[in-house]
Formats: sequence, C-alpha cells, structure tokens
Amino acid sequence: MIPSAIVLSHDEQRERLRRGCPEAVPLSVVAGDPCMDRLRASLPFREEYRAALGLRPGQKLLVLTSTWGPYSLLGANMDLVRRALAELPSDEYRVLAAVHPNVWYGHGGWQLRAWLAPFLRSGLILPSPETDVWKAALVAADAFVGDHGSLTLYAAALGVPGLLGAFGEEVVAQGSPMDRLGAALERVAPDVPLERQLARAAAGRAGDERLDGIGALVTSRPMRSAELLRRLYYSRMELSEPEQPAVPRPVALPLPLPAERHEPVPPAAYADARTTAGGRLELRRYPAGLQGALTGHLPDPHLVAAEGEPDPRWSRTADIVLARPPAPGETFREAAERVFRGHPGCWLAAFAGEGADGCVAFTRDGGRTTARWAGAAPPHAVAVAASALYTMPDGDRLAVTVAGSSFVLERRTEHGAGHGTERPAG
Amino acid sequence: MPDAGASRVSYVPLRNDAARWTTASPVRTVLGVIHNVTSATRLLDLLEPFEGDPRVQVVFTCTGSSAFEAGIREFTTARELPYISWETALGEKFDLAVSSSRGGELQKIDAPLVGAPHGAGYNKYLHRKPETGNRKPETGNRKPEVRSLWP
Repeated sequence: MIPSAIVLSHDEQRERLRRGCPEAVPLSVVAGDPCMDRLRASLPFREEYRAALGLRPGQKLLVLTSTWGPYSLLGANMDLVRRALAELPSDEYRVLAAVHPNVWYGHGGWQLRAWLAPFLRSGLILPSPETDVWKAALVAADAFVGDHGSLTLYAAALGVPGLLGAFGEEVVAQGSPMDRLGAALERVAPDVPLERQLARAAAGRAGDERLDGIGALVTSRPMRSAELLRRLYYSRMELSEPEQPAVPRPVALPLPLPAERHEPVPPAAYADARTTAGGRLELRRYPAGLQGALTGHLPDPHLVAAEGEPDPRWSRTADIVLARPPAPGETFREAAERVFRGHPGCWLAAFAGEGADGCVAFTRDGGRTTARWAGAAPPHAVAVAASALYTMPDGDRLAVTVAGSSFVLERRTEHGAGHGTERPAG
Repeated sequence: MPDAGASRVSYVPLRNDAARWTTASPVRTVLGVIHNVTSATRLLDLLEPFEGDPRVQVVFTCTGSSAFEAGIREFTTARELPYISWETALGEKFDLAVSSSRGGELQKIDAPLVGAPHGAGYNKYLHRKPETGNRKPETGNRKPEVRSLWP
C-alpha cells in the first residue's frame, strides 16, 4: 500500500517509523492529535461536563476505561467494576465505564448490559459506545482505572490520577508511550481499599514528571492538529484553505444520559457511620449485594434494607428496615410491629414522615422518634436519617456529613403510650 | 457488509449530472473510509477541519474488512453520514481519501490517501500471537513495529 501521507501525532513516531519502515518516512506528516486537542480545549469547562453527566456538588467521578480483548480491563478484570462500586461510598462517587466499541459490537450491547446488570443497578454509568460521552467523562473525571487502551493514555495526559486494572503487555509495542505508561502507573492491589489506592494516586499525580512526560508523547503539536490536518488535506486536494483559522473546539456537552430502568426496591446497603471528634456523624453507604472479599473499607457497618427486599440475606439480617407506608387504617406503630415480625434482625424501622423529607422511626423496644431535616435534606433523605438515628441514640440536633456536604437532623423522641393510636395523615 | 441501503450512487455530487441536482456546489469530494464504529468515531474527529467549507463534500464508505462490523449501519444512520457502498466507492475517483484504520484493500481507492491512527498514536501490535507471551525475544525484530505503524 502506498498512502499519500501517513499522519503521525508525535515526532517520536517518526523515529520509530525510520527504524521499522524507512521508506515510509518521506510520506509521514506530524499533525498532532485532534482528539487530545479537543480534550484540552474542554478543560476550562470541567464543571459544565460534570453537571451534564449528572454529578452533584461534592461527588467524585471515577472513569473505568476498557479497551477490547482478553487483556483489557473488562476482559482480564471485570471484577474491578464490582470492586469500584462496592468499595467507593455510593453517595460520594459515581462510576462510569468507558468501554471500547469492539466490546459492545463484538458481544452485542444487550449482552454487555446483561453482564454488567448488577453494576448498572448499583448506579454504573455506561455511555453508548458510538457517542463521545467518554471525552466529556475524561474531562470531568477525578480518577481513572484503565488498561492499555488509548483512553487510559488520554486520561493520564490530561493529568487525571489513576491506576491500571489490567494491562496487555503482550499487545503493546515496546518503547511506545503506552509501554511507558504501563511501567509508570501503579496496578490496583487486590487487598487494599480502592479508595485509599485512588487517594494515593491522586496525591502523587501533581508534579509527577514521569507521567507528565508520557502525556507529552500524545502530541508534539499541541492544539495545532486542526490547523495541520487542514493544511495537509487542502494541499493534497489542491484547494485553497478557508480564511478562518482552524481551532480545536471543546467537546460538545453530553445530552442528559438516558436513565437506566430500575426496580422499585432500593439496593440493600451497608452504612458505615463514624463519629468525629466534634460529635459530627460521617456516613458512608455501600451496596451490600456487591461486597466480596472485604479489603478493610467496611470496619463496622450496619445493614439497611427496604421492606419487600426479595433477597433473604438482607431482609433477615438488616439492622434498619426502610418500611412501606402504613396500610389504610393501620397506625405507624402497627406497621412497625409488622416489620419487626418479618425482619428478625431489625432494630429500627423507618418510615417516610409527613413532611417531605421527614422520618418516623420505631425501635424494637418500643421507642418512637420523629425527625426532620433542618434546611436542605441530603439525597436518600429517609435512609440517611434512619442511619443517623440508629447510630446516635441521643441528642436533639445531629450534624451529619454525607459525600462532603453537611446536614442537620432534628429529632424528637417519645417513649411510652399516648402515640400508639396515631394514624398517618391522608 | 454493510451496505447501508445505498447500492447505487445516491448522493448527487457523485452523479454525472450533478450540476442539475446539487444545492451547494462542492468542487472537491473527499472519501471517509470506515472500518468499524471505533475507526468511524475517530474518522469524524479527523474530518472536522472540513466544517464550514461548502466547497467540500464528504462521503463515507466501509471496507467490509473488520471483524467488528456490527453497529456500522446504526452509526451511519444515526449520524446521517452520506454513505456509499464499497463497490461504488471503488468505481469513483476522489480528490482525497482519509482512513483511520489500515484494514481492507485501501490501495484500490482512486484518491490520494491520508492514513491516520485510530487511537492515541501508535501503541499496539495488531497481529502478535497471544502465546508469544514474553516479548523480549522479539527485541530487534523490525516487523511488529512496521505493522504497528502501517501495514
């Protein structure tokens, strides 16, 4: 084959071409990388991409990047998707998997979604492969876990801290930027909490000259690719170039991602509640069904399940049951007694209260508590309130931190008779 | 595959009597060569320099050489790519062809051909046998590196 021009993205590639195929060197044109240029042009608008991906303030985005084939992240270590969702607190982290189209079209989108169904139920974001949502995700990301695919290299070049979950040394050209990246990035360790590993990668990323140097190998003509490609095309076509400059544009903001259909029962969760020195409660919640070998991220959790949870592992042992509203004619207390009878492990049954975000809770020993959020309520307000009430049996005002945001829960506890006949409003 | 519904030339700039049917009057025709959805997304990045220039008409074809052809029809339809069959493309002359992958009989295209990487540069061996395992023995062998750049 004799192409008219071979586009290279970096001068370094010309040296490799010279060693491998010297007769092709005169045809080579170093024109940079249009994708990298657009990613860089998008960086000033990181907050816009984060909002478009549905991230709430304070939330972090982990992007899992997988190329295709047996050595890819999904091919060699699909369990890492589970670990990411199992070990990162679900209120604080969103996890997005950017999967190579060859996985999608090689196995079928239905099959990929079926394989990942437990993770999609736990909130995994899986953008369709023909879109460029992955570009927005790399710009928005707080961290990545990748493999030997191009997206990993782009993520590292953008300065995103990250780890390798797999790496196909077997298919990576020796001496290539990917080869160097494989040597420079830490591998995910199986026995250390993932959040701790990500924090370590983040702490070491700024000022990491080795990774900066590898990132610089993506293009030796930064922000000039559109200009250089246009010059090449138009000279080959023997046509004058348009007068306006060729400038890399930011990636288009993703449209709102189609919501995944989900079941009416919220996933059972382990809640890890820790009291800080100042008496504040820090709450982290994790999907119970995805836990495997524990790596130390759940030292002393309590289990929260919804009434109607079909999996007896959770319904029989849950410490907190998020109860259905009382049936017509049934009091809260009668409904709570029904919950305690059906859930032998349950200590606290929590109902949505009469205010929008309030909570009515009963303990197995007959205590009744009402609580409401003073000011803004956190997402999953009833479940968070229930965990706070469960963990802190005393105090009228509970300061609760979820995903880095602070909230105040006001409590009123009542003991004894007098409320047993109260019926819910409406 | 995948003939996305156009076995004949259906885009008026390619007709002999184009002047009668065209709206804009492109003076150059560029062929974008698709191999699979991966290379197609990359190709659209590479073709952005033509945005805003009504003197250039881009049409697309697919070599039918990739193991990952599923999804191309949906992609070309969803993005409204002006698509012609590979057979049609080989019967035409273009002012430029741009390909972001190396598979297929690209040498049959009648146009100056610009080849570009479809990822972040050139990093992978395409044909390495998995059982090779340790790559050390291949040090000094020039072949894989040639392949990683251009067939």
